[in-house]
Amino acid sequence: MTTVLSLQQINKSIAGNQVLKNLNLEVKEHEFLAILGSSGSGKTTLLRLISGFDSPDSGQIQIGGKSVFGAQSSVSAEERRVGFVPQDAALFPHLTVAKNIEFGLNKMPSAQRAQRVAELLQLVDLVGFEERMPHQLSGGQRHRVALARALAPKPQLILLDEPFSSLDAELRVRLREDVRTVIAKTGTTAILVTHDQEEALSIATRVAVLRDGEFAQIGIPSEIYQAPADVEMATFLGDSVIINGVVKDDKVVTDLGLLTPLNKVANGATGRVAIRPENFYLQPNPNGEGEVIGRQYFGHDALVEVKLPKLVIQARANGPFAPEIGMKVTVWVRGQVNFYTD
Amino acid sequence: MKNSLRQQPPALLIGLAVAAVFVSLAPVSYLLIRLFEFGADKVIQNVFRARTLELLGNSLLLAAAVAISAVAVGSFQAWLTVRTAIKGRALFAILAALPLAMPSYVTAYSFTALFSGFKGFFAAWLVLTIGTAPYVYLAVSAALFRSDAATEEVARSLGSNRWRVFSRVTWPAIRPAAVSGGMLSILYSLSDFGAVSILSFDTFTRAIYSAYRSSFDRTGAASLAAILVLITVVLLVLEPALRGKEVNTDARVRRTSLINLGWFTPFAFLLTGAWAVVSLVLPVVSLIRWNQTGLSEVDGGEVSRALINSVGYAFGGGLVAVIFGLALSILTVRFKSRITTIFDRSIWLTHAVPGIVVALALVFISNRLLPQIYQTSILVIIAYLILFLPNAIAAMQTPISQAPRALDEIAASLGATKVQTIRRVIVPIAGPGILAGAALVALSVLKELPATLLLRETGVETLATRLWNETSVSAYAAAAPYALLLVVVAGIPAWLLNRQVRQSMRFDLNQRMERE
Amino acid sequence: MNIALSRALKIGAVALAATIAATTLSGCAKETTQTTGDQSITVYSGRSEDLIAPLLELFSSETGIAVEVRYSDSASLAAQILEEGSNVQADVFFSQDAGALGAVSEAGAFKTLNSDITELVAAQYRSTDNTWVGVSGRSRVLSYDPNQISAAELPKSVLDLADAKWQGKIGIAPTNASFQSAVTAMRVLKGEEETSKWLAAMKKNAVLFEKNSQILEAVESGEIAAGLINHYYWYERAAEVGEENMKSKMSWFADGDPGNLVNVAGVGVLSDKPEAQTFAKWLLGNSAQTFFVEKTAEYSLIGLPAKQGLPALDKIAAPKIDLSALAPLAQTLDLIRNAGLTD
Repeated sequence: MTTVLSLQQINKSIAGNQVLKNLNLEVKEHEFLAILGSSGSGKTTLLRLISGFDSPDSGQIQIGGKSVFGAQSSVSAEERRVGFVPQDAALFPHLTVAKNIEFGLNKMPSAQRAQRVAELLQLVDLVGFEERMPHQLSGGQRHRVALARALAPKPQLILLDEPFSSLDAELRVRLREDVRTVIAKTGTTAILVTHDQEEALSIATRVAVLRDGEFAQIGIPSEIYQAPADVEMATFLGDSVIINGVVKDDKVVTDLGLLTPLNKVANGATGRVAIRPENFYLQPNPNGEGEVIGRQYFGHDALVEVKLPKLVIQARANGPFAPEIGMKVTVWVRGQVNFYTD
Repeated sequence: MKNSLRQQPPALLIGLAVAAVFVSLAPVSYLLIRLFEFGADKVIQNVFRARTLELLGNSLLLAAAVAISAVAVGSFQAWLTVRTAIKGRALFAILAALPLAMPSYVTAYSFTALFSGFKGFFAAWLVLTIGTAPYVYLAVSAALFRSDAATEEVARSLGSNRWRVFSRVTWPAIRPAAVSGGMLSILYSLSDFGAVSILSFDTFTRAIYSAYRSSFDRTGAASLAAILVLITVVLLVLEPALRGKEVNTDARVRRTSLINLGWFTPFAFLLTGAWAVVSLVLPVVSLIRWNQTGLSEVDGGEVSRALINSVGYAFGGGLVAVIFGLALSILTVRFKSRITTIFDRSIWLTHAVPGIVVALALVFISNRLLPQIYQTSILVIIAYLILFLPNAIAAMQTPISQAPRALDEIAASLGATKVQTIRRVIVPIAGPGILAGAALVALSVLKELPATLLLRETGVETLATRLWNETSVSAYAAAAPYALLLVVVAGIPAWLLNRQVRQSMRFDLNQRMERE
Repeated sequence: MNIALSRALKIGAVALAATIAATTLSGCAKETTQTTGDQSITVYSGRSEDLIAPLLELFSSETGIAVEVRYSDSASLAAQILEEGSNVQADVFFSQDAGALGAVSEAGAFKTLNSDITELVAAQYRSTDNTWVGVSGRSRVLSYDPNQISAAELPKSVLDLADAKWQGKIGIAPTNASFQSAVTAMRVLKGEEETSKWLAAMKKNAVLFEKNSQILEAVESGEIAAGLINHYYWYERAAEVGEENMKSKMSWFADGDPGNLVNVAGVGVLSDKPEAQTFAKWLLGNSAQTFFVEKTAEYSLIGLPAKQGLPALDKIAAPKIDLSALAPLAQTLDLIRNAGLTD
């Protein structure tokens, strides 16, 4: 597969703060990469460097095999053929839906143009909305128009800047799915920037976690979730219970008993173990050491707080079978755990 | 959309608005009385003379040329100072707003003093463009700030070059503001007499003044002034179409970068610098030269009395315009109906009528209805209200429309009455815009001459009337301090207006920084 | 509904009160002449403050009558007096020219002047019905730039300016009242046809200005070779820049030429106050007349000698003409208008 985007040694400072530090990244054709980071991590800046709205202080950017930023050259935003879907869609307020989508097609013959608009309306499921004005659309519809508008000129790469952040939870999930389908259908290479780990994991084929201007981890979603690169990653990407442990005979000795590490460990090493709440199994047992002291019920599952002699853990239990407060339980850890040496 | 204020406007608003409309229409009723007295055939005879039509043509040509150049200059300055990363843009912004402080008759005088052959169409065009471009600049700056810069970036990512981004995305966003500014320029140019007469360009107002001056023909003058009202009606009807679709933008702050001008930077510096020299430096230098070369003397006590009176009138005019303008603005924005739209349009009717006609109308009406207020400051303030209420409303309407309507409902749910909601929610939110309206009126009052001259209390002199006094006997050296003082004093509201626009801008820039 | 209406009215009153409050807030500093007595009059002056203010000080100190004065241009004040209708605020109208006085007189707004006032001035310098009287005289002159025109080349008659050699060289102010009066004099003296021809030639030859002072400035700067103005503008400018710095000179035409017309600034009385008549009479007394001669280089109308350097009033070969005959301007304005010089 060919490389669509390549970043080498990208540095960028804003107002004296180094926002991006020596970044390297490659994105292959048809990939859907999510850049995940908290606010202030530099993710929006990175997007603006790729789109050409800002320039890095140093480094190189290639798009479609051609250098768009480097020591000698700088290609302006309008010539990069990089689609852009900003936050809150930013539709042209004075143009209809059809005219918005058509905006980037001005070099195309008009017959073809109409056909392309029709195709895109079909694609984002907005047939019949051609003549609507942006303020007559719902939030979700606006985002679908913004997506269609960005896809219309068949860009080499499409960038999405926290596109769903202003929508309510239910709509966000639905739209996320729509966007994923549309992008997959068109085979467009895409980069999405978000601070929402669930969004990143569910939509992307690959996730890059940006922390303090550096990539802390890049990998496929399951890798990122199941094998966080360090303890901070483990807590950043969803909840984890962190317990101290010592390695003895290839097992980790902890207050929860002996656990099997996922990674290679040296005997005698001390460190911490991160366990996802759903990796606990709570067995009701009147003689168990644990006592249920808290319970948040979600329907499909429940988050149960269990007090053990030496610590308190949070475990996820199947909704119908979640133990009640006051019940005694035995706590088991399923499968292997991630051990991080101190 | 429903909201609590919508149902029925409070009596306070209706009372103030009706009073303002009533007062604003007084000059029109005067013109009608005079026309009726004159008879239709004489009106037609008076108006449809080759020379009158020629002058009307001159006026319309001048007004159109001024509007186009003012829109071009003002929009360019706004774009440069709001959207681009050009160095010193805060300074350029002040330089763009400051010519507002210069009465156009002073600009005209100062140019003729520097260049003896400075007269005719192009001279009038230049001087009036200098005087009106700041209106466009302020309106367009505010519109640029409100419009979503992210749409411009999207357009670039879709392959549009700078020009296409401007023409297809930026221009539609600023068009309503630019057209309103252009409309103000047209009405200003149509009603101007001072500058065009100094620059020897014959316009329609000259016909009106000649009717008074050489034939003492009040009815003839009124019939000509009525033509200007008719033209204004036509412009008011055309304006919505010219403004184009009112674009609903959400004034959300986004992170966008300022445009790097690249190779154009030196040209931009040159253009704005040259304009600043022409519009500010040359006139001020000329005034200072007057001050130094003449022999006539200045009376310090006279100057300070004139200053006090000018500032007093400016405060009074600003305050009254804000009270009535606020009522009308809230009524037209929050209780939009056919009647409030008629209210809104009707106050513009006399905006192209020269000040002397408005003043004489008030002399006539006040002496017949309320002789007690004739030649008191009350009538002067009423004249200012008629002359400048449209400017105040133009400045206040948009900020008021941006106070979220949902807050009306929240205020109502917390037990606030409509008037309390206006006082405690809308006014504080739209506060800077309301102040801008007051500043604009204060500034116009400072510069106003013909109505002040006619209506002021006997013995009361302002900076403008003193300036008129001295220049009418060619005592330029004695006139210069008044002109300079006038420019400096009027510079304060001009600077405030610019700051009000830029402050929201600075806030925006801070937000941009904080986001990353 | 009625309640709403009465509330609206109440609010209208509040608004008016706000206006008054704002006005009080703008508390105006004004000036009147200081006197010990309690008599006072109001004067509308079409003549400039620079000139009139010291004159009024003098009047107040001599007579004990205080004066409130309102300055504007004569035509605006005439229009204002007419629009004031029955509520006229002024006791005296002091006009820059006879035309504005004529217009107010024609509307019947003036009171008749006492005969002890009118008899001070020759009949040609006052109205026939004794409603207004001239108080100072000014002559039309040709102002010229000696660098462009030698004394020998000076025209003998204002009518000579119709010659094609003056094209682009002569300045006039066709909307200015004193120019219009001079044209009226030409019409009365030379007939309508000749005046029309002359005006048509001026349309070709003349550079048009709004004011006399602008014409003089243009002559001073050499922009035009000559211009038709009133004589005192030269002294006004000389006072501003210094007499030694004046580049232009003044010249009169031949005997009886309409270009030498002598017109007046004058007063009419608008109220029954005896002090108003006192003021009119005082203007024709020695103090005021000396003042006009000294300060403005105008001609005294009671026979005081003219300012040094000026030919005497009876020596300037003014055309013999009754100024009241100049009052109806309409015909003249039609001629000027038809020639395309004004609206």
